Amino acid sequence: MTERTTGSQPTGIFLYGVVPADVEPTADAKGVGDQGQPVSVVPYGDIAALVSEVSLDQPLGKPDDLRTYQQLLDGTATVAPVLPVRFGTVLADRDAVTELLTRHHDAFVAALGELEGLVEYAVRGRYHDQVVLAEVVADNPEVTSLREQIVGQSEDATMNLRVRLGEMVSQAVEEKRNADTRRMVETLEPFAERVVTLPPSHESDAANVAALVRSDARDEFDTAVEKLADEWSERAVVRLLGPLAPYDFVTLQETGG
Amino acid sequence: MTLQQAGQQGPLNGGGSGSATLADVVETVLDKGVVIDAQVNVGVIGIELINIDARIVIASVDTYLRFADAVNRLELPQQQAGLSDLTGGGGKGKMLDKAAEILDDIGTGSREREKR
Repeated sequence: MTERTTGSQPTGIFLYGVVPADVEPTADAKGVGDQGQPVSVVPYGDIAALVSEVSLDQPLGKPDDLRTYQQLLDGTATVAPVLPVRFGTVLADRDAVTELLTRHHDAFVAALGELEGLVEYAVRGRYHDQVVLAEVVADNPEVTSLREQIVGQSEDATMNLRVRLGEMVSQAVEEKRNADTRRMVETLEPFAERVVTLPPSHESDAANVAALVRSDARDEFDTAVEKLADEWSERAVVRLLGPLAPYDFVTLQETGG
Repeated sequence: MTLQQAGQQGPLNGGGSGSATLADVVETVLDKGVVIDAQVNVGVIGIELINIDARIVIASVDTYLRFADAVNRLELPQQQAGLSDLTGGGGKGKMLDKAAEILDDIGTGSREREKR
């Protein structure tokens, strides 16, 4: 791919991630943006950046853009280590990308080395609300008592009581989430290089965890997740997403140095 | 590349609802990855991310009231079975409203947001 500006439209270079120099995108790989320009690499030394041209007069961030970004990185992660670059990073031109790779070559090489042979999985548990709320009621006599005070009265009259009840229930669910998250982490740790806990994204979340797993341990990890899912099947749905690029295991911060 | 790439799911319970939704994609990729300093980012413009504001604030009065409603609508086992047919899904539905709202926002609201 050669550098060019299409007519008068300003363009930039969207940066997806950094990979070892021997990685090449497949010929049909299309990038973000309405036009979906081909994905190419900007190589430097032992590394390369996955990039595509984007038009600068159209904002990015549509659902399809996010999906495209994720699919490219996840697909790459199954064949080679990849350092995802934060979604939305656009450089002026390919020279700017080369400059970036030059400046941080050794740090990128080291980070890629640490990710060799590893993929990320996200494991997310979501409570069956009815079951978990029933547990909360059963465990907390005060919740039952508040329910009884509220029942049959107008919403306005019970505002304070309902806020108190809700806070109590919310805290009880949070305690369950903490306990279940610990349980998930303990269950998965033996089958992963690293496990990190992510913040809940929904009030019904039972656990939200990311794990860095050796490619040759993927089956064992899958089995461990399935076992946990069986164990929790009455009260939560457990979902396994991946293999993913290591979004939650990249700590590099470009300092501008 | 296939559409399934990111959403591959093991044979866990949850069945058809297990594939990667847009909410999954947002949660998986947004605000992650290497941060490149603005110095090099001569060309960064016009990036308008959807839905960062769609993330849920976990503790708020709204949340408490939703929890209270859900618990109040809860049909406990010892209560009359006949009622649960009518109202059994109510609490859960309420609790899940927010998730549906978010998906709607993300799915259909993005263009609107982008125009702001």
